[in-house]
Amino acid sequence: MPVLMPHLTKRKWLLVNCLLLLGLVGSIIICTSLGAVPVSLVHAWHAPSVDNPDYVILVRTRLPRVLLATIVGGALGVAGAALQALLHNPLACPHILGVSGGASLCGIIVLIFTGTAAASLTGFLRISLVSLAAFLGAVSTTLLIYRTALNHGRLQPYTLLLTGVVFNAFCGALIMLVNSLVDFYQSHSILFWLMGSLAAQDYVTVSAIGFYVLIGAGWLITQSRKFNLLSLGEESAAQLGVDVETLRRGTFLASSLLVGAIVSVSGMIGFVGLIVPHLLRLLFGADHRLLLPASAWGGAIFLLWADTLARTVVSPTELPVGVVTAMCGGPFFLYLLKKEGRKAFSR
Amino acid sequence: MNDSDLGLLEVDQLSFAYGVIEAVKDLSFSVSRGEVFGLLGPNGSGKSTVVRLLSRVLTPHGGRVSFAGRDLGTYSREELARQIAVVPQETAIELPFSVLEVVLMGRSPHLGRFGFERAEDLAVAHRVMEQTGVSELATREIHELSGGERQRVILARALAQQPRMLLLDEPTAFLDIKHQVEVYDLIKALSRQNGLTVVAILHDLNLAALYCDRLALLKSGHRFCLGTPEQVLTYTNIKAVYETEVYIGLNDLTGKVHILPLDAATRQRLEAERQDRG
Repeated sequence: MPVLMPHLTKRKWLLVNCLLLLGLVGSIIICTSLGAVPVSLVHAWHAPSVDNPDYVILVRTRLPRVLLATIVGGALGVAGAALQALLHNPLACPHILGVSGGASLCGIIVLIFTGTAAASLTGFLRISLVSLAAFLGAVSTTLLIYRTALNHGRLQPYTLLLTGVVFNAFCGALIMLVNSLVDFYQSHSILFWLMGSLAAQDYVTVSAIGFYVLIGAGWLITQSRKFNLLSLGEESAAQLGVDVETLRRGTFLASSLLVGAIVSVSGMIGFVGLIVPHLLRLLFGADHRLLLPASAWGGAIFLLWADTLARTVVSPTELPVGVVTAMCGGPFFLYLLKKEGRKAFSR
Repeated sequence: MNDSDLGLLEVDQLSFAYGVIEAVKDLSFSVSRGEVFGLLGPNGSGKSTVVRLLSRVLTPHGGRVSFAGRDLGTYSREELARQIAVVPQETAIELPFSVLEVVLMGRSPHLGRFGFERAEDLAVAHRVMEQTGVSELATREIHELSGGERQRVILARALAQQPRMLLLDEPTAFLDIKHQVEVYDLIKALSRQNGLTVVAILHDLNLAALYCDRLALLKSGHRFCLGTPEQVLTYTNIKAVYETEVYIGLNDLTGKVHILPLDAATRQRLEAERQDRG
């Protein structure tokens, strides 16, 4: 039973969002000061100059990384919640459905084959080119998997997950193939796509990704109430005033935009979109008007801490952040499969 | 009452095909305000397709449907959801919504894009939950409920839309006899007291006889006959449409016809008697 109320009120909406936002701001502050080298935020604040090592570490490496984790985590949370609503499948998330895999593959191919051409581009344009490729990869994967799982107008949850898993493995193999064909330096950069990393990016990259995520997540959040109606089934949603086809297309595009954008800078980070909406649903109920924004804040908080753990636990070296999220997410997925699987697959 | 009376719902020469398979063919009927109108017919006779056409989930291939004097196609989806509500045979909800939340979804066509439910929406929800007898379930999760309870919640959700017409697609197919009667008692009362118009698909011929003002009997997509339960539910009509023999009697208590199936032995005996006479 969701805490507080049997239905969503404006007060509950404000309260939960403010709480999570506060938690996010607090996490950002704490995680910025944690690291291989602890940073004193107070010292950095009082002496903002290049002579102050605290300030340099904070501004040059720590802050962009923390901001990127916030954006990527938020995007994964919203994309997971929206896909779960659209596909009537509590086990859906961009990673499990293979969307991240498809996006990565396309991103990598463009990165390799436009290697020299892309290198001459800078900042926003270069990121946008790889993002665009990853976006197209995400869109086509989503459509492929959706079409495969659609049987006589009905989504088969079992087929959906299986197709995703198989497609993910397939993309992984193709990425390894590309990996074995290219030279050492390129191959090193491919490995990071596979494991997921939030390692230092410049502010231009971070803001470019932030821009795309804002568009995609913003649109999805405005559709929240329609996602509620969709849980009654496509036909009932239409009879309650939802243009289901438009919503479906829009959600595919918006979630692909999110996945494309974040995969192009952080590679495949799994399970955030699965764990976060689930926990929040248990805590605050299923209403998507709250769940979608809450998943953005929650995803950001989760990935922020996962990344902080990844870069501190074996410091001075780092774990790939994808390893940390997978270690939380794998067992969690199995638990859900056991608990929800029976319900979802007995249809 | 006859077909030329201008009704709330006018269905004229309606046709629809799934690919090459014609599901509905030149179907015409009209339903007046406050009437309980039953659609009967064997499996695959096109009843559910009619409900999908009337709720604009499907677009007709031929003919027209007008509601309150306007062509159905001229309504926006939200506008239509304020006029017509649908109760499907079954609703599967995987996400942990509370009963109150599901009922409040019926208020959706009345809210703005970012709107939260106002006090009046909550009042409507509580009233319809009272009517359908699910008030005590308000805080429960929808997938904890039994099939009967869930179906009454879905009916409450439809009533929360405050529609002028209710479309029912065999809403009591999975309910026991007590809950079947309760649902139809409520629907009948709403039609009599509030002028709610009801178009219902029924499989149970006895419930149709008991609650419907008029019936249309469908056979492979077209209208076989139309009229009061007494006119429609006759031995010959049922034999022609369902291709089986039944016993038809008059229930002294309700004054309505009732229909009972006959087993093979009885049907063979009747056949033998007929041959003896013939």
